[in-house]
Amino acid sequence: MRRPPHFVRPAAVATVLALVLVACGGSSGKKNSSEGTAPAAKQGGVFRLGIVEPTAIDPYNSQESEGILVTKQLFTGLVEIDNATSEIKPGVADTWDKNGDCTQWTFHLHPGTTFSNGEPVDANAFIRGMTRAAKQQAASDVAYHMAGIKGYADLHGTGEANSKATATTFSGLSAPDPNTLAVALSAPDCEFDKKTLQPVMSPVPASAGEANNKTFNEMPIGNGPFKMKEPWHHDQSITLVRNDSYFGPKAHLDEVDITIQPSQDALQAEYKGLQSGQYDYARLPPELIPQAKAAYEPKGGFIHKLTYGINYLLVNVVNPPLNKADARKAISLAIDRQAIIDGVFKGLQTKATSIIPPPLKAYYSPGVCDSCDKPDVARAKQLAAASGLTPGTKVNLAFNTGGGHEAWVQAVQQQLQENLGLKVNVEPMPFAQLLTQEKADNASGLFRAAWSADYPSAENFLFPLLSEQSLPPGDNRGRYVNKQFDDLLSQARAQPDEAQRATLIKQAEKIAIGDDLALIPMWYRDQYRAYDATKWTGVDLDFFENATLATIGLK
Amino acid sequence: MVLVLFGASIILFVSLFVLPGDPIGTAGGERARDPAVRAVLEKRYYLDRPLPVQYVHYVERVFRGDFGESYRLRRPVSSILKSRFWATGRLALAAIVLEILIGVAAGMIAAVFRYSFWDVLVTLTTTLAIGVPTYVSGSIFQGIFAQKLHWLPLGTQGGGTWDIAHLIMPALTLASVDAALVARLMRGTMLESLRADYVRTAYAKGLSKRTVTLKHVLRNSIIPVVTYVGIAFGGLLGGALITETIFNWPGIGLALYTAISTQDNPIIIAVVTYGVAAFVIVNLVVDLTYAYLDPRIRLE
Amino acid sequence: MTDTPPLIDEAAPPKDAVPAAAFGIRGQTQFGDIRRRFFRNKLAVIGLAMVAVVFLLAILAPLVSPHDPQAQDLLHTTQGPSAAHWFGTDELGRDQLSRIIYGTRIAIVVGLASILLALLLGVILGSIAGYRGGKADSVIMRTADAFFAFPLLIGAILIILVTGRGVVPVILSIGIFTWAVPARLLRSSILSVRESEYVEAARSLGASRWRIVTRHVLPNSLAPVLVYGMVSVGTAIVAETALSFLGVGVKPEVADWGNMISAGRNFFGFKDYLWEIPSLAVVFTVLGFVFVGDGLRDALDPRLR
Repeated sequence: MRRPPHFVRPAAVATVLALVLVACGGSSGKKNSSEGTAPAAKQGGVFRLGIVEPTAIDPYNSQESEGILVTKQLFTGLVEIDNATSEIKPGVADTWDKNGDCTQWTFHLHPGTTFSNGEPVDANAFIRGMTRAAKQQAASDVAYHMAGIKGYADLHGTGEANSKATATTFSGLSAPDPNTLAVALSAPDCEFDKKTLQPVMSPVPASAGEANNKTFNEMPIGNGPFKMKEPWHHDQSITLVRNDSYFGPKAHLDEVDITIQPSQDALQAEYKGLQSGQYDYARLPPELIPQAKAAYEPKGGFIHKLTYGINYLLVNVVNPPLNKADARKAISLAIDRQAIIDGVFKGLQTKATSIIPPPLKAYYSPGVCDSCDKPDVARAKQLAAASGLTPGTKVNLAFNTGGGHEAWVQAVQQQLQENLGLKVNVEPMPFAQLLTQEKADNASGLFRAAWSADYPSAENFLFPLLSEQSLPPGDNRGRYVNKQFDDLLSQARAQPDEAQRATLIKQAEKIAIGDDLALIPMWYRDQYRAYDATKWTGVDLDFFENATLATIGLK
Repeated sequence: MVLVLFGASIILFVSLFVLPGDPIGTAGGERARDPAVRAVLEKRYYLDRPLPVQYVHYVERVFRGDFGESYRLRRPVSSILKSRFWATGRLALAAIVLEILIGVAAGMIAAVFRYSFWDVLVTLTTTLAIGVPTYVSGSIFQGIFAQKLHWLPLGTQGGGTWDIAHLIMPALTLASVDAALVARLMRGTMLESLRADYVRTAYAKGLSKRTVTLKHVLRNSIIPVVTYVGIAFGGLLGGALITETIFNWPGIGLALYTAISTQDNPIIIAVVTYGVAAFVIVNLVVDLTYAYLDPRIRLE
Repeated sequence: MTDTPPLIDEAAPPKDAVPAAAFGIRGQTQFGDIRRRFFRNKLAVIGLAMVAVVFLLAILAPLVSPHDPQAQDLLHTTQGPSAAHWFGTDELGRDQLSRIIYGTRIAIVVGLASILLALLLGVILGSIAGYRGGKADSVIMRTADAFFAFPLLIGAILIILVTGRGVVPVILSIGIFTWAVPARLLRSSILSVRESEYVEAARSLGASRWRIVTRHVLPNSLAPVLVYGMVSVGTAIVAETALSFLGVGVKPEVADWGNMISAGRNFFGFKDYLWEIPSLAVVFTVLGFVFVGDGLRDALDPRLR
């Protein structure tokens, strides 16, 4: 999963707000009044925005949206994503093909492209980048995206005491000729091309060296539409300038000034920066979104997009009191999602009735969670009684502090107490502690959770959260296991035809969510941004929920 | 004194590592860390060794100037905190200057013009200032000076060392309570001194009120104030947590708060130990100054 | 950390103070004197009234609150002050006025309990140190120094991270990091008193050590400690709300002023009443205790005025 920004109050960490606009009802399109009819952008300009300090901008470890914001402007990978259609389109790779069972992929690179320092971007550049990140000593938090490639475990290790990560090359990667990259997978994966969207699979020049090369960490040299003007000034700023030797459509902006601000109240700081003219673009604190909308939408500078994420309640399905599907459904029926959305989020969220969100059009099954749409207290009570969730039962509801979740969690607590007579114990705690609590052997009850897709794939929701292979130390901390579900997922992975894959995925979701309600969906993920539309055009949100710097230009 | 430091750091160390939660188990967001990566980091940070061994390693590295690596940012703690020390230092210095100026002046006025309008004003204001917590006064300053009047900027600190505009609100907030206490203290000691025999003698000798006040009374009254300011400074240096949180001031207080939320233990240890050390050192300096100022007192 | 005012020796009696008890005047007259002086002090009386208001609200909360402080109304969240809700509603539609009223309970309970704990620890340890002297003295005082040097907020945060949030952990943490000052106060008080003549007299009359401590030394040393106690209830309340503000205090659903201010700040510049009103409540309460504490100090020893 791609990391949401640090310590961002709701916007990133799950309680994202959705403005249910006129064309609501699950439509996944972006709503941006400045796109499409925008006048052609002029060349030049300095765009300014604020972020919190990223963990890394070097592609070997770039993990949260701040880091990815920079990395994706510095590097272009094999593929890109079309913002309008959410389809994968060519990046450095002009075309690519796969074999019959999706275990062998071949990428044909556009010849003659270079890094900003003149070094060639060829198949070896990609191999270099991917190997460097996968090595054990790099301790990269994002290398796992390459776990499906043959030879990964030899490079990366598995964390077990006896695992030997002795390899120095990535055996599954090869370059039959300079502009062809051949990737061998250890198991079929028909959506592997989508995975290469991740920055960790960027090409790097020979000067990059190993992952711990500080010079490169601070000032990566890439092949993207922008390059670094100077090294990263930690806690201060990152400055990008246009890369005029970019092989694709050149960026309009001359420069991008990224100010790094302390992570406390980051959203408030960004928005205040926009209001005071310090920034040209900002994320929005959820409480102030209605105000921002009123202020910026008339001028065309308000962005709202339903993105590839989901906010849900993780349930421990192994220990009582919620180890029966009926108990979970009772909980879900007792929660009035729309009331919470209207009251706490002023209607700016989109109620979720599935785990796979609307933007994944082909895979989206609205209403697969039949207890999510409207509360039904009578039926909830029935199911609760039938499954032993009697009034007075103690249920934990844990959430992470610092994400602005206090309010809606209390609303859920209230509803469960009123409607089912449960004793809900609300437990706020730092995020690391929350994770430990979830994994504990005696874990029970509900945990606030959110998930954001790493690539536009439905499998990226179901597999990490619900499959047996993702049990802790993976992210399936609710400990749901269902053989039929896992089988369907494996079949889907190996299915080259998208329509058939979608059918399999939908069947899988029906089992895990429809029948078993292993996770309780709450709301999808709506992202809001505001920007100075009197000056700028071409501003949109990309798949990673960042500003599309490469298309922004002066009006 | 050194014992205090070690004691505090041990308590801190132990409590951090027995805290529930796995500090390196989470990667930079809402995700469990890849177990292979976790294994590497565990080794790198000596987390697989027993606690006393870890502590020894830690102390050893501290003496070499290495405070370890932040779990979250994976960069050396010393480089992360360097700029933040300076940010908090500026804030603390500004606050102390304000405290001394305002506190001493107000206290003096109140004492010299005892029972007059000024005295009452000062007494009331200082009492009020004590009662208003920093997160309230900070919010109020922000509301009035930044939000409503737009005199001062609300955004994050820009500017550099001499950027007063960003500095003044947090410094004032930080200084408010202490300035009030200094004023009260100053007033109290001055009143006592003014009653003392030597003052009467000085008047009898024919010295003007001004000379008496400034040369004799002030000098003698200032001692407890110095002590107090010294103690306060040491505490301030520790990184006024709330003020930095409210004003988004990139100092070590904020770094600490963030580190606590993410269980970034190396930063927590470094900042708190530093805070205690600062306090201890400043107290020592104060004791020495005290001895210098008051010839009647000598360190035993 | 000087976000909560450090407590200083303001109230220690001057070295040459001669306790009224030396003249054998105890009981009614002395108390009457103190009482008279206290009530003559206007500010002190006002303070007493303020504290009384807070106490009354805390006790009578269920009777006085117009609504249930936990009753959510998701249809009417963040509404400004109105006839139905004099102080408006918060982000879950709960009535602010009721929450402010119920907030007095937390403030009083935590404020009093934590200071009582600190005083208890401080008096016990301080009297041992002051009276026994020697090794006990230096051990206790060194420990006190360590606790004194450790910033209150940080220490409290760490304790609460281990124990979890709640009223009791907050009381414990504040108490634990505050006992050092009353211990020191009491110790110096005892040191100055124990050498005085009436104690010598008592000893020469054959009074046991215990009797001397409890009947003679303690009562006269306690005055500054009590004054400190009263003023620090205010400080403790500030500390408690600061902890809640930082998100490490009482549980989030509890009607607590710190929680309310913290949540209200999200709406800064937009719905300011959400944090302004609970802030006022904090200031009001703290000032009440400060006035009373000042008044007490002036009443107990008018020469300090």
